[in-house]
Amino acid sequence: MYKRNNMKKISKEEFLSGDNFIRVKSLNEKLKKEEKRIRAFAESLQISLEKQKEEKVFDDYNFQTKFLLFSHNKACNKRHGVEDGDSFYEDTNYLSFRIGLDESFYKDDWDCGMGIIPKEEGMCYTMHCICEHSDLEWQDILDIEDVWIELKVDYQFFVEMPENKKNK
Amino acid sequence: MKKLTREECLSGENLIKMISLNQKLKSEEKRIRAVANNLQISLKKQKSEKVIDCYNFQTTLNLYSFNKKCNKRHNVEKGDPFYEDMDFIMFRIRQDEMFFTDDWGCGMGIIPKEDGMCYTMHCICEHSDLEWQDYLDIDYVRIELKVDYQFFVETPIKKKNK
Repeated sequence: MYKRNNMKKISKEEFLSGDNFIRVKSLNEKLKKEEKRIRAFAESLQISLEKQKEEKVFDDYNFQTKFLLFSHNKACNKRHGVEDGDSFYEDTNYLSFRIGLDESFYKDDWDCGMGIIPKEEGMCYTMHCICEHSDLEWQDILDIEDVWIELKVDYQFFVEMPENKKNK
Repeated sequence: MKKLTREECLSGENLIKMISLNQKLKSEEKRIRAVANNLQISLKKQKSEKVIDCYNFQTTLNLYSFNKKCNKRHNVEKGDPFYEDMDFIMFRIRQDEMFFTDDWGCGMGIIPKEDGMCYTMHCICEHSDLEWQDYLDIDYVRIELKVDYQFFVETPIKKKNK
């Protein structure tokens, strides 16, 4: 991908030095804060969903989470074959903010020995997903300008036909 | 297989089934409307209080059948919808009252005037390419209010000269 664009790949050392390092740490810090905000909302949302289902306000629901990464950097969007305004990476297996999810998802250092974020700061789980669950390159991580985290809820209503046929 | 005609679909037990489906959908529309209105009021409030940054609100309609022939005709497995209406634009707050009160039969003569066709039944019968037999094979209708609660993180250092 980089070869095609005739661009030298950024090394891990370049990624973790100077302004780049400040940028990566800052992203991690912002995501950590946002996780706290979302967690509080997501937990009360799920309690409310369960209650409403029990009270038959609706028949069932789905609760899913995902995050999307955006950049306005032309080279980044070109590398990923997307237009400006579209996400260049989407993680639909981002299983966070479930009620009952182990406390370690919010408190542990998720750097897992990669040495990206200093131990005293600790890598948050969302940053871990970006750096370790994806196939993104170092340059892509530096090109992130917006992260969208979405809690996706389907409120479901069923109509069943009484004349359901037998012997189908 | 001989195609079911309009006359066959709208006679005897078949007509009773069609009227019953319309009636059930009409009742469900009332139930969903109340939930959808409260939900959208709450979403607006959450956004203005910055509990969330933004949201999407969409509605979908899915039809299911346990009839093997129906699923085969539509090339789906049992448990999957044989028809999905992603343009089912319903239950928006401030949606015109006529969506919930008018007769949406539009002269098709499927549901008797005194019953009145509800908008959901109208979408099934008139916005789709379904056949008469498909209507009779509907065992379940699933209506979904799909909400995305959105949270944004902006990186503090924006690069110049992009």
